[in-house]
Amino acid sequence: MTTSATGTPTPGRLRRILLHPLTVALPLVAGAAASAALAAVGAGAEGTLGAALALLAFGWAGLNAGYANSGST
Amino acid sequence: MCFGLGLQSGALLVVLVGAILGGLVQALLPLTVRLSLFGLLAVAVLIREAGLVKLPVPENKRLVPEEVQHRGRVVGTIQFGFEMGTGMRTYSPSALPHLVLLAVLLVLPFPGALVAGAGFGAARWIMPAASIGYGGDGGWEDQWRANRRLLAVVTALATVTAIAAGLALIAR
Repeated sequence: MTTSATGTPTPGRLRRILLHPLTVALPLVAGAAASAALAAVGAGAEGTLGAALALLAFGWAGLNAGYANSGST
Repeated sequence: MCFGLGLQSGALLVVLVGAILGGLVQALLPLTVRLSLFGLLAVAVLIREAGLVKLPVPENKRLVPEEVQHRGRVVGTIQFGFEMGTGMRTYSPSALPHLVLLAVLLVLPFPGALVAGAGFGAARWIMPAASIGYGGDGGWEDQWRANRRLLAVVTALATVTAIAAGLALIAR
């Protein structure tokens, strides 16, 4: 059974939607896009904020690279 | 907890060694040369991840040895995480970890390298966590395989975009 009597997803179904590999990838990809948008508009041009945002972007690159290797043990 | 600790330790050890070597490389090669080289390699990886070319990457094509998991709940789990974090004794279906390591060597500043390594370690934790939450029946892995190419392309684009954005942000 995938939906309740009212047609809403059951908790189990909802969990599977939220944990689907493509759903999990969304915030990882969105974070990279956000960092590109921030760079494009010149966010943090004054120094410290720019450095912090750059670190965040590098961290997001690592996240995506690690996630891309999912499936291997 | 132990698994995550192992993952972070392994990933951070690799980027630490890479960043130290990168300090030498970055001191010896001009920025334009390093950026050009990294750009070329990034394009090659993007094309590979899109499935347009077969480009082998260095990998130790085997599973983390089973005896590692028999070394106790704490030590075994930490070591298993460590092995996964370093990626030195595992399969590597993606070239993105290699690309990030090349970025560490060629263009990333030292703190950026450490943060990228922490991100890599954190993301390696996502798969088992999501898989267990999904049902622990192999269904998550099946979904991954069914969407493998799409996931490879979007994560490759995201990785390159994030590195480029980070470099642009510190270039100001």
